[in-house]
Formats: sequence, C-alpha cells, structure tokens
Amino acid sequence: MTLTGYLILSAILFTLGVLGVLLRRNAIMILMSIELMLNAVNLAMVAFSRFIPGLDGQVISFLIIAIAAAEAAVGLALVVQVARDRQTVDVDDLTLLRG
Amino acid sequence: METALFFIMAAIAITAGGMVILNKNPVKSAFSLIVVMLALAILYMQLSATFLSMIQIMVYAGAVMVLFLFVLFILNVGVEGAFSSRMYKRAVAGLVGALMGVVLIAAVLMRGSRMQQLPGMDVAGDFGHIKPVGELLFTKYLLPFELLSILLLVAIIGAMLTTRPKWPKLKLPPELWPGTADEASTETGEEN
Repeated sequence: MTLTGYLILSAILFTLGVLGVLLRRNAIMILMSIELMLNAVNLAMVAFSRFIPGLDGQVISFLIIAIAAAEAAVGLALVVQVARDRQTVDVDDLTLLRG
Repeated sequence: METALFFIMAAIAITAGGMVILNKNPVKSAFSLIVVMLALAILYMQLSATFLSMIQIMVYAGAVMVLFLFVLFILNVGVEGAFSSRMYKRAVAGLVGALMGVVLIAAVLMRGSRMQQLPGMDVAGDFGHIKPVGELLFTKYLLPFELLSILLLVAIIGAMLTTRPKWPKLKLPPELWPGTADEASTETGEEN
C-alpha cells in the first residue's frame, strides 16, 4: 500500500474528528472526537516513518499518545466538575463566559 | 494481501469513526472509538511499528477509553437530543468541516505523485521494535521525554485537584485553634 492511501485514510479520520467537535454538543463526545483527530495524526506520523525510513515519526507518535492521555485525564476531570456544578455536560448550556 | 488488509482496516476505521460522531448514545460512541483504535493498531503492525501498535492497544484502547467509559458511567450521560436548536449554525459548521476534509484530501492527492518517488521500502529487520525506538527516545528525544514525565505528573495532580469535591474543613480541637495556642503557651510560661 502506498503512502497516499494511508494519508487519505488519516485525512478522512481527522475530518470525522473535526465534524464531531463541531456538531456534537456533549462535552465528553467532543473530547472523544479530539482523540479521533489525534489518532489520525498518529497514523500519518507512522506512515511517514515507514515510507521515509526513520524512527523519528514513531517516537513523535509515542509522545503524542502520552500527551493525549494527559489531555483526556484533565479534560474529563473538568467535565466531571462542570457536571457536578451545573448538572449538564451540554456545551450549549454552558454560556457563562459568552460575551 | 497487504493491500486487501489495508482496505479492510480502512473501511472498518472509517465506518467506526462515522459511528463515533453519529451515534446518539455516548457509550456506543466510545466503543466505536475503541474499534477505530484497534483497526489503527493493526495498520501500525502492517507499517512495521510493532511497539507503537502494542502501545496503541494498551494505552489508548486500554487506559484512555476505560477512563472515558468510567466518566460516562459516573455522570450517567443520557442520549443526546436531536439537533433542534441552532440548526442553521450546525449546518454551517458541518459544511466548514466537510470543506476542510476536501481540502486535506485534495492536498494529499496533489502531492501524491511526488510521494510515490520516496526512497526504498526496505527497512531493517528490527525497525519499529522496542529497542531502536527506545534508543532514539533516550538519546535524541531525551528532553521531550523528560518534559513529558513532568507533564504527566502535572496532569495527575491537576485532575485530582479539579475533581476534589470541596476543600476539607479543618476539625481541630479548641485548644489547638490558631491564636489560642500561643496564649496557652505564654500562660504556661508565666506559671513557670
């Protein structure tokens, strides 16, 4: 399989993640869509590392996975606290900071 | 064989990815996301990134998604209602997102011919195994690696402090209250 195929798959998954962030209203779903986007980027990184031989892409992928784990932990902690405070995780209802 | 496996895994990943954003039930979305991650893990294996494939299954499908499911169960998040409010804005947002996807794919396809001419497909036998990846991680990428450990520590502390229900009230016996303690000590001092 060529590099182009992997990159197109990565682009499609990234687009699905963007659509999830834009369209969903549940804060947890938005975080999940961000994970989908990070996975798409990881796939592109690994594909590049294979087709331009060199392990740098895989190491960066590894770092991205760790950062995604940290991001999920903090993001979900914030969602839990917001849900306790407001009894909702719907981002359309969280308008306190809207100008 | 490899091409067939790629297309099967790509079809699974795209279908499950679509189900992630289309499912009204967040728990079903989470399980679809696990399917995406497992399909990507198989693709990593095919790209001879065996170590990363295992990390993908253990950290992403194992740890991160379990965290998501725990939060979904704790909060008892219900099924999301229909997109009734701000329908117009949502349509615009969807259009912008789809346009971005078209631009991304077009960019890949336009550069595709140049990418075909990349150097050889042959890689060393242990390419992507844990040893060469680890060596690179502890030499060239040592600083990012160490910074990452600090980031994870800060994330742990931040998550714990954020979800803390309330600062605990200090319940000290009256003789240990601040202020009175000093007086008590001075009084005893005078007696001596």
